[in-house]
Amino acid sequence: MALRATVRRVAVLRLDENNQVRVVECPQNIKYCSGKAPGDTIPLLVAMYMVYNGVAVLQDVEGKVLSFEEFLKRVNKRNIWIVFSVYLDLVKRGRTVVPGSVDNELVLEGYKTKIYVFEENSLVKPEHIIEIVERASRQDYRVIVAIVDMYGDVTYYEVSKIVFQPIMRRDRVW
Amino acid sequence: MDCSTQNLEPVKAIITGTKALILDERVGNELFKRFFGKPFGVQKPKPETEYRGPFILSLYEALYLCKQGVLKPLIHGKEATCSELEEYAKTEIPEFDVKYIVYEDLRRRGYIVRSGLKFGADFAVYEIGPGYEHAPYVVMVARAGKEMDPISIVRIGRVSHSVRKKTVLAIVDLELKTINYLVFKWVKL
Repeated sequence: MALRATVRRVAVLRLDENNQVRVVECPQNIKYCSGKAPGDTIPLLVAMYMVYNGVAVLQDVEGKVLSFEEFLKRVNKRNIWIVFSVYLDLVKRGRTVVPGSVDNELVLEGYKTKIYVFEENSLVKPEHIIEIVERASRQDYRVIVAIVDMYGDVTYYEVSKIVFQPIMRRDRVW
Repeated sequence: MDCSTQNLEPVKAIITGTKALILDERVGNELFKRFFGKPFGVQKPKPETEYRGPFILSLYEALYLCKQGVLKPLIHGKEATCSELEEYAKTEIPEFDVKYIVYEDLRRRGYIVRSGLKFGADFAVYEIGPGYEHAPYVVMVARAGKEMDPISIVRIGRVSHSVRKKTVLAIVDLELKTINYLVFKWVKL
């Protein structure tokens, strides 16, 4: 019986001086960069996911291949790992996720849902959560907060505003 | 159910530590029927039952009733004003000022507000009243401008989810004089 070797093609990405990831080559079978031409940028989180899963190799500007570890060292963004944890968790659950407009924001495609990532022990001002909810509500989006614990496990909470409607009781005087 | 303070006679309350003590049984029972305070030492008291002995109120309840003109606080044996009671409470209970604003707001809207300690929250909030329903809401109070650890939401969220309550974060902005209520619902994505 003849053995047939299959060659798995991977995408080639390049990390530039400004920590932007650009496509060098994207085979058709790789959906994460499909439709991108050489030189187009792809979001950092998507690039991380591709390198992490071995569907892309990453090069620096001189063409040297960077490992995932080297990629992380060069990016050096404070929140990137926890946002990546949530991104990975959602992709594993079969969701299509795209990075949002701010560092800790992810968008669930097709569900009008924005996810905001917070980490255990990283303090947040409560009014910041109100702003998030109000802004998303104006855009008709659902808000989920993803809280990442010390081991990277994620708990999701849907957040919305609530109004306590007055309850009329007998003999109310105020 | 009458939860108002209408037709209640002013009663003296001894302020001790973080509690207010009412020794007048008749008024104590009247207040308890309106979901203020609790007969001392009685586990799960029933609102329709008459109780003997002293009644214990929280300082939130005491200040609210004081402002309604139905409670006269005695602090260190001396009659005190509501403002003095408020100042005293601020020294005894952390974040009393923002928590009281939430207590008062919910009471004014007709809700029954009790301790949320067993749920890891500040308040348990009822629509009908304890003894008649399980509290539909647990409320945690936060001060605008003061940072909080998001894990505290997880803590109360997990408990309240297991007992099918809504977890509410009440955010008080003292400068803007606003309260925003956010409800957190645990979801599987």
